[in-house]
Amino acid sequence: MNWNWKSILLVVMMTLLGPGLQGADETSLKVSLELDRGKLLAEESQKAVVRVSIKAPQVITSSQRPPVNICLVLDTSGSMQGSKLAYAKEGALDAIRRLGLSDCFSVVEYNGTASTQIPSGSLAENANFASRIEMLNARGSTALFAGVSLGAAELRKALNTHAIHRLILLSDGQANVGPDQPEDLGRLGIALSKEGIAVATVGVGDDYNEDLMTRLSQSSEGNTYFVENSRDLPSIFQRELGDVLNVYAQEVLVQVDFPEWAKPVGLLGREGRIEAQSAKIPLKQIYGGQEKFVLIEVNVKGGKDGETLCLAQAKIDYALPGNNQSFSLASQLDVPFTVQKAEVLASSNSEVIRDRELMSNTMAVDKALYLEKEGKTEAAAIELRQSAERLKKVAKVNKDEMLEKKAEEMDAYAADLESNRLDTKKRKVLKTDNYQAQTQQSVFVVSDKKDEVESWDPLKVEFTKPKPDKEKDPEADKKEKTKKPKVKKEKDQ
Amino acid sequence: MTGPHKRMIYFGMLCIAATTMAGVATYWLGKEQARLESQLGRDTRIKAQALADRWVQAIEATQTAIMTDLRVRFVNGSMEDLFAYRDARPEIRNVFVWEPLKGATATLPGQQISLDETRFLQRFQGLFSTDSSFGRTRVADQAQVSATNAAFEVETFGWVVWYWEDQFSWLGWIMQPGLDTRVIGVELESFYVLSVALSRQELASKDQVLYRLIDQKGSVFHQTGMAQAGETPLLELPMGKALPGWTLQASMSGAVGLTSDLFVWSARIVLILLTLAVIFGAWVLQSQANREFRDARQKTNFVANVSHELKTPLTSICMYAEMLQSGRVEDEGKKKHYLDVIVQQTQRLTRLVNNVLSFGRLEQGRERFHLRALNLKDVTAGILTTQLPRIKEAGATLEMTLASVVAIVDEDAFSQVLLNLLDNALKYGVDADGRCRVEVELTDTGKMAVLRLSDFGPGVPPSLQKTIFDKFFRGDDSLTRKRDGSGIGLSIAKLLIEGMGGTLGYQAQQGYGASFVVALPKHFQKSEV
Repeated sequence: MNWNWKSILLVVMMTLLGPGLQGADETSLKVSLELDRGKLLAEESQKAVVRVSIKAPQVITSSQRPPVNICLVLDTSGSMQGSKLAYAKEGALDAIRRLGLSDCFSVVEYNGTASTQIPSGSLAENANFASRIEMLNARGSTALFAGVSLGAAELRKALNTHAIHRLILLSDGQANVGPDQPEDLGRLGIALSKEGIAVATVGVGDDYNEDLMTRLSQSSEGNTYFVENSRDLPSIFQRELGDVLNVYAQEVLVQVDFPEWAKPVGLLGREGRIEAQSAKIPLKQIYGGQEKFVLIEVNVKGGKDGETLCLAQAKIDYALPGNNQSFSLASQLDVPFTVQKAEVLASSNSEVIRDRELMSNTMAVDKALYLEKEGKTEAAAIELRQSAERLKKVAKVNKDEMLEKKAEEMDAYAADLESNRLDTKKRKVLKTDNYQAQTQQSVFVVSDKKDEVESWDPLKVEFTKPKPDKEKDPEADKKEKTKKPKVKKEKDQ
Repeated sequence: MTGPHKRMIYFGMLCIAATTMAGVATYWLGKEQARLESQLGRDTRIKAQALADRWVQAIEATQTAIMTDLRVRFVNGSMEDLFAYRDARPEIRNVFVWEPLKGATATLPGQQISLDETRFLQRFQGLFSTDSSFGRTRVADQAQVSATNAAFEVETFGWVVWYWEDQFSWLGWIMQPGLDTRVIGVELESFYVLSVALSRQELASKDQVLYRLIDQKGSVFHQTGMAQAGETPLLELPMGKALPGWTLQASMSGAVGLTSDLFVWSARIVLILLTLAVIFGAWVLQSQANREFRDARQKTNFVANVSHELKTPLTSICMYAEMLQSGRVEDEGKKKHYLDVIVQQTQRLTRLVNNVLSFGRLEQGRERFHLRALNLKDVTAGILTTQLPRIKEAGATLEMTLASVVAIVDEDAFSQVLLNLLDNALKYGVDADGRCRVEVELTDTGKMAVLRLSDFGPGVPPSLQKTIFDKFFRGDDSLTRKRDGSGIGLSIAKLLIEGMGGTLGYQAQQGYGASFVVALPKHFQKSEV
């Protein structure tokens, strides 16, 4: 072993820079950039879609996971009386029992007023949590805002620790005391998200306001659940806690820079900022084994025939929970130019196109649901039908079964709207599905027929598809096969 | 009778006194309740004010912190820093920069304006739309002028509460006249700031009061305390300039109001019951006294009557015995007559004394019956036959219709009863013509032997048909005044008959006057051994 100054320097540099240059490491985030087509038209103005996808590896052992700080905010209004509250208590107990000694938890109950049932503390400090949860009983109205406020206050007690902060809200009804507008609760959700508090919402039964619940979760990209039968509450709590314990990275910030001949003009289905030649999109958290993506619309005009230019440069900043470190990933997208339109058409990347279409569809669904709420059911139905048409067109060109299925789904919902058959349950299913598709969380729609939670990722379902001519992420294939590819929807009840 | 009158007066006075005391006590109870309520109201007001102050203080603390940041870090700083501050602070919804002639912008230069930024400008259009001055007329009264150490740099800053289409916002602004009157400011995330402030609700716990924060539209924004409180608002406090138009309402728990009501009402009920008990006690005492007075009177009357009844035959006996003793009577027939009278009157005396003795024994429960099965026909006929002279002497007639029936009787008691009844008939059973007819009927009904003794006199009026069996009772004076009587004959007869297991009653009959019915058992009853 020759320990000369060069090798020492090399070792020192690797140690210092190593954490910042995680590209090929199996235990780090992976980023990939793709375009919706393989080639761009030279010197012609065109609109293209860039997809930036980020994938997190599985988080390995519980000893390595960061501590969590959770607050369970439980609805104890009169309508929760009976089995609903009993199952909620069971779910809460199961969730708390999964926590570790360095975790922090609290329980808030709300009906006409909100009160702290278990103040923020560790398992040691709150050793009597089981009896305290047993004491809960249901009576009164629903002061949802007060419940969330008090829950956030409990979480704040441990906010300075490097933990995963999560507020899990359970509700079975409309908020009838205090603020009840989705926009207003959405603002609260945005602020909490800035603070570092993610909000997951669980709606049980037919009576809760799914717009409100998704808006609360939206900004922090927390999960939102529609549970039709309270019997499934314990498994939902388990599922949510599983995610909380499985957070890989937080505060993921995606920045994509474009050259002056490619102007970013919009983001599909996500919130973010476009400044001049770059797009900045925050992704709140990413769970182990999860893949999230961002779609950016760009106006491209430039390039010469035969040239290959760099279209986009992506930088991903993220923090690993549990420590103060932040990391960066970089990637770039090079695209060849051609004057042959046929070549461009032939090179279309059906996966990205699918994502683009599905994401546009979620925006159409949002709009349709908004119109429906305003009472303009006809216009809402038209919106869905138009989206279905678009989906069908692309499905035909790309022979994409998934888009076809989606189009059928949209047609079915449109038919429901036209004949006034979009009942509260269907609306909840649609809204929750849509939200999950936009944030790329797994779907959690638990209906009466199932005994277990069904989890499926709409974008990773197995079916025969034309293989695009690009290298596929080997991880994605593995994930596809291990996840249960049941595409059953409970729309026709 | 002054006795009873006096007693009535005393009783009346007692009632009045008791009622007055109860009334006064109730009045004072009511006052006490009012005092308690007002005390509660004062306490609640203090608590409510403390809660309102706590909330306002939390809001103002946030405002001060943000304003300090603006003043210290951003008013001379870069735009990038200001917008980064917005993105980092949950309390801040938007930031803006306003310049005269340029108006306001809420977007970082170079960035695309976002939806929320657009809406922000829309919301505050009314404030930003004045050209040359930053709505000076609107904000002037809220401006706080503070001189810094650099005397020529005068900062003006302040907070505006802004309403737009029912939406409520806090806008903080700071102006530097030295720098082309550029104004920077923030719009607070009002729902977040309120959320943080309102979760400080420890003051309201463990209380019987519900505190409600009511917004400018009149709807409940937040409530804390006892949710089951009733809808009777005790008080309403304005929230101050941080939340203009908002109020804090405190209402009592229905349960508490109920408890104090319960106390007052139960106290009232106790008072009423007490008063009633006093009145009732006095009434009982009074009627007891009355009864004893009446009993005493009755006894006095009885003694007088018995004495009188004793005296009359004794006088005859004495007179006739003296005459015989004197030897002046020579006529044998007259002698016999005088002796008859003496014997008769003696018998009468005996009867009376027997009655009195029986009465005494019956009253003390010492009467003993020797019951035997006898043929009542024989017994009745035997007794009445011995009375025939007396009956004839009285100018009355006797008719007997006797069936042969065996009954269980004490012979002496039965004869006493029969004689008492006969006595009454002879005394009071005189018809309008002055004649007296007595009918005695003995029948066998199967179970009982029934003897009926009737006269053809005026009878007994229905109202007195029960009371004639009461001891010492002698009916109304018009009839009985004419004749002697002790008033105990019928009561003795009834007690004797009942003691033998039979019944004695009055039975009004068509065509008759008074009619008394005796029923006696034909067979031994189990209880009579």
